[in-house]
Amino acid sequence: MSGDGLTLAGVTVRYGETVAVDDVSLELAPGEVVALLGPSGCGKSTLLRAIAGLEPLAAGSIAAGGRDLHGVPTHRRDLGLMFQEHVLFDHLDVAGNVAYGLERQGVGAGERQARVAELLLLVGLDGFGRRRVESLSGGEAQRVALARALAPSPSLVMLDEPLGALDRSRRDELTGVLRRVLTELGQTALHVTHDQTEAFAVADRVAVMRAGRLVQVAPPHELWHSPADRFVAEFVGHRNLIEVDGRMEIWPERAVVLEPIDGTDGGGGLPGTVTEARFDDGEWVHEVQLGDGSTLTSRSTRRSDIGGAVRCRIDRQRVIVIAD
Amino acid sequence: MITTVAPAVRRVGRGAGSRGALGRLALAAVPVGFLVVFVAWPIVAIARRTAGELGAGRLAEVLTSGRFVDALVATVGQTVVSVIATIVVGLPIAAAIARHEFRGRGLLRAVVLVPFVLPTLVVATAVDQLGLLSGWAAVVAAHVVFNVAIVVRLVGGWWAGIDRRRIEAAATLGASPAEVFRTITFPLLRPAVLAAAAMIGLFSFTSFGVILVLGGPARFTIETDIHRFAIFRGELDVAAVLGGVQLVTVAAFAVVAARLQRRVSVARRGRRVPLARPVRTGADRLLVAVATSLVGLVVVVPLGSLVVGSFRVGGGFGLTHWRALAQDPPVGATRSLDALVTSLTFAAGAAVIALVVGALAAIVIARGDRLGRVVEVVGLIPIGVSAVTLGFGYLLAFTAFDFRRSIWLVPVAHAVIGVPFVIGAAVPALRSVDQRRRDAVAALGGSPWRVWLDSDARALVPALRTATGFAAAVSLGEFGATTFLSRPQGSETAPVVMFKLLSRPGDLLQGQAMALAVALALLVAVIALVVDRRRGDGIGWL
Repeated sequence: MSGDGLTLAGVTVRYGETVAVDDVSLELAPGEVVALLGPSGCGKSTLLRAIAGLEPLAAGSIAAGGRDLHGVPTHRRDLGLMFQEHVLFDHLDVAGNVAYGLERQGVGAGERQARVAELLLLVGLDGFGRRRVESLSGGEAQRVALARALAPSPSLVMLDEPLGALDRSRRDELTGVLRRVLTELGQTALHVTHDQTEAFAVADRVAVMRAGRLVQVAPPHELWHSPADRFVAEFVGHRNLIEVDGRMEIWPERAVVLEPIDGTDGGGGLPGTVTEARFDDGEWVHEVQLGDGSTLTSRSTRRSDIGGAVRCRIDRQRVIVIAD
Repeated sequence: MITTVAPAVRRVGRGAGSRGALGRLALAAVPVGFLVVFVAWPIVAIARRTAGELGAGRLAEVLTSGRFVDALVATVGQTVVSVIATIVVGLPIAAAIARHEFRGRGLLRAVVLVPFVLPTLVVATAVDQLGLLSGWAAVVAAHVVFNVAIVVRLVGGWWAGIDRRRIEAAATLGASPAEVFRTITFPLLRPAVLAAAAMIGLFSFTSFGVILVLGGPARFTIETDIHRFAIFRGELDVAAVLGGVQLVTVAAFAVVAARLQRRVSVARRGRRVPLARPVRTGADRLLVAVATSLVGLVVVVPLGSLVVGSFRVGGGFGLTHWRALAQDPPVGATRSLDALVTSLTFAAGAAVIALVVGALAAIVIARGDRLGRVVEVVGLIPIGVSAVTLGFGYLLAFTAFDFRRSIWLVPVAHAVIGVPFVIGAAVPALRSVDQRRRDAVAALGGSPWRVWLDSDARALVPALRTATGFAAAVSLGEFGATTFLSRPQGSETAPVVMFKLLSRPGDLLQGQAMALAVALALLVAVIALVVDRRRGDGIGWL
């Protein structure tokens, strides 16, 4: 186990007049993987840089493994940092990159070699040690970057959009690698992403960030089933946010069931017209325009024709009520 | 849509095939003919004299003489020291500019470039009148002043292009700032440092005016000895042997320098996070302070005091030296004002010749076929020939001409030196044109000529404007080749007169030399401003 936990208390980062990170407090248990999820420009990367000691704090404190990091320079913080792209040392080979942090720690050559081999095996690049960095594909390069960040067993590893530059299939594959490796090593990790699927796939808990502030911190299922507000609900992928009697309800796409209006139907429900139908992930997704002009999204295995009149029946058991 | 696009593209391709080949051969004939007559032939003349007519015995005699060994040792010695000193002075400046954003950064970049575009004799005069250093130390100092821009631009530019996240990744892996520099930054910088060293070495090895002015008669290198034996002693055989030695070494130097420089001129792919960040820590402030002081010491102090010196008369200040430019011709030389006019005329002529020859050569080279590669090799030959060797080659090759009358040889020699700069700027500009842009114009029904005008010509014009201005500036300051070709009867240029003024004793003549140096520097500055509107973006390939 190489996780030591992390405590952020009231962390604030300013660029001149703008507040990039605003009073963020967050705790990571040893071995826990937390995803920092938010739209681009919300301050999540800045928070990462502040933890690494690359941006000065305007207020607040950061502690790793019980040690206050105030005034500790980056290279003594015992952290791993993995970026999106272009950051391997191309004057070194793959093994040289992975061994870099170990050399800085003064680990002996034999032990270093063993550790490098172990990590390359772990990320699925067994035997790549002598390869030149330029000869790697984008996915391979990111695996090397991951191995390099993990090799010195840092108290915390931080991943800044590590899969952002990859195409979708490569990304799905690497998400799995990431999750497996972090779990296997018991590594405490903070994973920055703007992709909800990626955050849910990798993290134990997800911290949603907006305009420099943390909006909600919760495990993925909790975030989905009880989002703190409209922003979080939309960001985790909910489409049907409905105002009912002054409160906000979410009708998950599968809670909206379509029934054709053909005389034999039972009446009731919300009548509307199908405006769009597409096939996604083995199911049909329909957009339905209701009488008042608003639209609902429905997901089911049955196809309805575009332009067809339907009734939308709502499965009340699946409806989510937003607390605020 | 596809069926209408395809024939249009094919038509362009066929046009360039059969009829285009003949046309391109005609295009290539102009630059190749010019360079064969005015570069290759003079080189052959030196080579024939050295290898053929002289005989092995005389050759060995010259090469083993004490004088040659001394010249060789001095040449290599001052080159090595100049390279090291320039890099030591240039690195902190490059570091500050690459790593930090601070007020005055753009100004610093621009100021550093000033001595590099100035005539070498102006830089030599500036160091000379400071009176702080003498002998080889002064020579090395002048080389530092002149060449520091190479380090700042080449190494600094490469340095600034390093993705900041690499440095940060190394720091998070436990590397202290010193370790980051040793294990990451320096290895990444090495190709740029080597390229800069090779270029500084090339310029120092072939340095001429600086050594004549600051070294005095007692100090000599291979380059100055070619001049001395050819002109003052009339021993053309010895000069030819030295010229042969210089041809071989400089050509080798140039090949190495060009290869090293190509390595650092490749464009880097992808979105990168720039390295530069605001000044934050005490160490940051120290670096910026050191860099600013170095620029002050190396550029501002010598050039500033040159300007002040041109106004100093006895104990006070006055316009005596400036007035002397129009009044007093030094004994046996042209009046300074007339020399300035001559220089400007030659510069205009040289720029036009270099523009025509260089642009035609670039168009042929940019196609990248066999003909293009031949022209490329021929076009780059002038880089491998020192100015003095070129002038001496003219002396041997064009004996049929009366040098007192054939003053056109001076701008021609200047143009030869300028051609590689024009080619060097124009070829990358042409190669940067996206083939899809050409195809798009063709697909819209453009004729091959229209395609060329709307794509290639647009890229070519700004590159040529800058390079032509640079060729004119080079001509204004050219001294090495000119010393062989100019005569007091109407073809003495400003640098030649400046050298005559400096080499004679007397405060008034020294003062006039300073005024002439400042006037020449101003002319170069005007050209640079007219030609290079992108202020501080560099001139030519730097």
